[in-house]
Amino acid sequence: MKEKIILLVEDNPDDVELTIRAFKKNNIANKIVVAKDGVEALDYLFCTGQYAGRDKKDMPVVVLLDLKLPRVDGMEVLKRIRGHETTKLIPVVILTSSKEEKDLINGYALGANSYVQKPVNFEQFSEAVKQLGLYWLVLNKIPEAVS
Amino acid sequence: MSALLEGKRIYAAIITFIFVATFFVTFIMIRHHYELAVKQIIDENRSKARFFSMLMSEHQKAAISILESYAQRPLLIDAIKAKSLDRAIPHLRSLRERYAGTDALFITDPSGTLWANYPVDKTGYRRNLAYRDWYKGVSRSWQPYVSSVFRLIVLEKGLGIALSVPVFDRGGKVVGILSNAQRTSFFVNLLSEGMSGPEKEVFLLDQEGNIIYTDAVPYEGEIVKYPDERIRVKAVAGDSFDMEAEDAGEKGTTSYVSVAPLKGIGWSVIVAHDKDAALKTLYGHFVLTAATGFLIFLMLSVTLLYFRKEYKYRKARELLEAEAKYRSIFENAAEGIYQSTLDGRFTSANPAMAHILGYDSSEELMEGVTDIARQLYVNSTDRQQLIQRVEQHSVPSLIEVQLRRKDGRVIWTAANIRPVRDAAGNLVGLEGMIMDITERRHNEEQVRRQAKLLDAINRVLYETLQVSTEKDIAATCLDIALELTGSSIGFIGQVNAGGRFDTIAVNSPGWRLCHIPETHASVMIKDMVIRGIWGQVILRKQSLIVNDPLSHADCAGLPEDHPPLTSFLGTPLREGDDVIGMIAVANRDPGYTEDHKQDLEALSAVLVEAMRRKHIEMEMERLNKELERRIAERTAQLEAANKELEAFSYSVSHDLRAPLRSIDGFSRIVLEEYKDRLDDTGRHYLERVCRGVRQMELLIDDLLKLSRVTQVEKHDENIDLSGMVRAINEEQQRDNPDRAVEIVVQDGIVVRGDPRLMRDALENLINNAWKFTARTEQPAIEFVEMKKDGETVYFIKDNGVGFDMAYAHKLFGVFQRLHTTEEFPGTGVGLATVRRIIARHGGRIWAEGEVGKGAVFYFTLP
Repeated sequence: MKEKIILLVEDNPDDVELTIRAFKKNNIANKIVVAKDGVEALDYLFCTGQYAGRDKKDMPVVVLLDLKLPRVDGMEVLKRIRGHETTKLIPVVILTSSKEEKDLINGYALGANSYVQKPVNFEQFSEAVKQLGLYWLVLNKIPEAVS
Repeated sequence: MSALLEGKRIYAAIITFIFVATFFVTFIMIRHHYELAVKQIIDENRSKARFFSMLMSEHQKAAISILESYAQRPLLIDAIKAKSLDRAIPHLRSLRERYAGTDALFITDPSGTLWANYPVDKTGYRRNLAYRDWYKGVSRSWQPYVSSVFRLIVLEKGLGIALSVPVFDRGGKVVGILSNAQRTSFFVNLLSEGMSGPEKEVFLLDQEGNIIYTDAVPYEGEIVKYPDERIRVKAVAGDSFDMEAEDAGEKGTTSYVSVAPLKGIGWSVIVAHDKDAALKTLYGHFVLTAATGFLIFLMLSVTLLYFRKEYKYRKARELLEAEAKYRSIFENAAEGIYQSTLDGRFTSANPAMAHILGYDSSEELMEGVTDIARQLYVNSTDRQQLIQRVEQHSVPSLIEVQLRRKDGRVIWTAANIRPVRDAAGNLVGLEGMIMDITERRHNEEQVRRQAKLLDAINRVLYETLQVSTEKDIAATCLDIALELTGSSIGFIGQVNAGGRFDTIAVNSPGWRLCHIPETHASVMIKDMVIRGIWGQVILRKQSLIVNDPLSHADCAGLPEDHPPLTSFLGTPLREGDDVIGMIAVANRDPGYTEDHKQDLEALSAVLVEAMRRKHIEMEMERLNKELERRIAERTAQLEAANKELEAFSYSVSHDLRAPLRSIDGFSRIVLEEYKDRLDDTGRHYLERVCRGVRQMELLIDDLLKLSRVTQVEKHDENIDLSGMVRAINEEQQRDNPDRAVEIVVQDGIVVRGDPRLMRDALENLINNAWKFTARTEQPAIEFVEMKKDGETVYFIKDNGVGFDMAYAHKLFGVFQRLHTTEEFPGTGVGLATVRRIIARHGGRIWAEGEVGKGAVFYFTLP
């Protein structure tokens, strides 16, 4: 069985570290690939740029997507994921500090599978990440074609 | 006069007619009566004749019966057989006694020889009487026979007739003849009935037409034939008839005659009635009838005469009255009424006529004017034309003509004129009515002028709407001014800032006349020194008419090639007391009048107004454009600011949280991972860091809410406030399960507003209420609606810590708190948000409170 990769798209290194720690704390040992902006995330997913040599079949089992990103923002990334044949079925969870309703609606409209607001409180944050991992990595069944 | 004559004729005709009619009726009546009378006479005659005929006939038959009864007596038959006179005599005596009509009885043998008679007279015995008519008659077939008249030979002399019957023996053989001679005078007894008076006559004729008896003339012993042979022949023939016969009687006059025969005997009765005598009684009647007719005729004539006289009298009176009336109309009419001869004299004229023409009286007018065409008509040929027209058309002609009064003043008159003709139909004069219409003509002229002026003003105002610049208006106005005044050239100009004159409109014909090349024509003359005739208009600030410009004192000559100036009219353009320019028109053919000046002044006022309006309009357009530009600019700025704000809010919500999360996250990691190496103070400080982070997060959230109130779009709908308040309270109860708060919510409070915003507001207020009643022993929260000064006010009341009214004004400011975070947690943004939401709904919010007693938050929502 292939390794279940989590693609974390997050520009804030603090958040990256906190997220990874939260996964670890909650015994989620999947490989976490971090993309620091939208371009990097897309490069990874479509095996372009720095990820040009990557095995195309090695698709992440879930994408945790921040919205506010340098270069290409999260909404654009989501649109591209949903717009492409090879990526359109990958579960995408928006993970953001924004409480704006507009973002929530847009996110779901573009095909996000879930929308999680990052709490400021670390304990709450940790709990949220734990729930995410449980659901998307353990419980959720995704079509074979994707994995 | 002719009518009177006509009346007489008609009257005569009517009288004649009545006469003829009454005459005819009378005649018919008389004639009818006459015919009736004649018929009556004839009828009477006939019935009388028949009566007599019947009477005679019966008488003779009776006599014959008696004779026959004796002739059958056996004793007498025996006596006759035996020719025994003695034996026969008693029978004869008996017979004579029985029958009064017996004058003499005699018996003959069958051969007619007399052998017995009674009274006895033996002188005639043995005489054969076979020649006698009676013998011939009875012996013809041995039948009884009544004889014709004959002269008696026995007894007294005279005329008689005989009744003879044959006497038969038992074997039927004739043995003798029994005769009875009767004197005709005997018939007087029978034929005198109803025959009184000399005019009526009766005749009895025998078989031969001889008169047996008549009452007219006694025939003593003479046998006479009836004189009228025509009647006699018919009577002998046994005819019954009536006729009118002349000379029937002895008098040689005319009589009505009726003849009736005696049946079986051959006699006739003739009744004659003298015509004259018969009709004499009628004449009186005729005369009476004729007299009555004539009387009726007279009465009708007299009645007619009376009515005719009455009618004529009434007519005459009406005529007099009408005459008086018309005379009064003639004398008092406001219109001049006149008759004139063809050669130009008045034959009659009423006072009004004289008055219109300026004369003191009709007489003065009629004497003073001897040639109407020359003296009264302004254009003396007018009258001749009028006469021709009247003569040709013959109907009244309505004309308007200028006449000259006695004082020389010219007036306009309207005249209704018709021809006067003599009996032969020749035109001999004119008659008619005239009115002085000078005033009316003048008014009409004024009205026409006013209409033209109004039209001109309208056009100027209309053009103001159509054209875009003041110059265009001036150009149009100049065209209109030229047309209105009938001028050929003109200009409009303004006084410029330097006190000189700029033309703004010059009519193109004027330019062309000036021989200025087209290129120059489009350039108006500018900056002229104000001088000359036209300059006076501006300098003196008043209109100017100059109809002889070249000899005018201010004439400064004309520019080269300027068309010759024949007349000039200038009017200043005034704005308040200032003259800002002028309109000039020139070269009207007969020159300008006050009317033109007034028109141009009116037009100039309109022009100033039109230009002022156009100026304002243009200014307004400019300002509008400026305003629009500014609004666009401001809108762009606002949009930019809004975008910025949005971006800012987004950043705040997103980016401010991230470092907080780092601080909190890493602080906790430190607390967790390095708790062994930290002392209590160090741990306490890190916990303080975490608490600061939480407060900061709250602040960020509240600020975002606050900013969202103004940013989000508002969607109004009906909100059940009561339900919303209950739901919020339930949430609070869930979050604070160990608290017991008495909640009072009025039912059915429904308002219109944005449900999300209202929810935010109510949450803030109710959460506050829960928060500030945390230390109250029996906390109570109330949400109620009430009316105050006609306005619906909602309030949320609690019995919490309350506040000092001195700080009431600070309650709704951002970051304003009346309690420390330690006492009651909070950010100081909530009530500011509430106020903004209520304000966004157009309502107001205020609070009342007392320390330790609680607070009331009131708000309104229109």
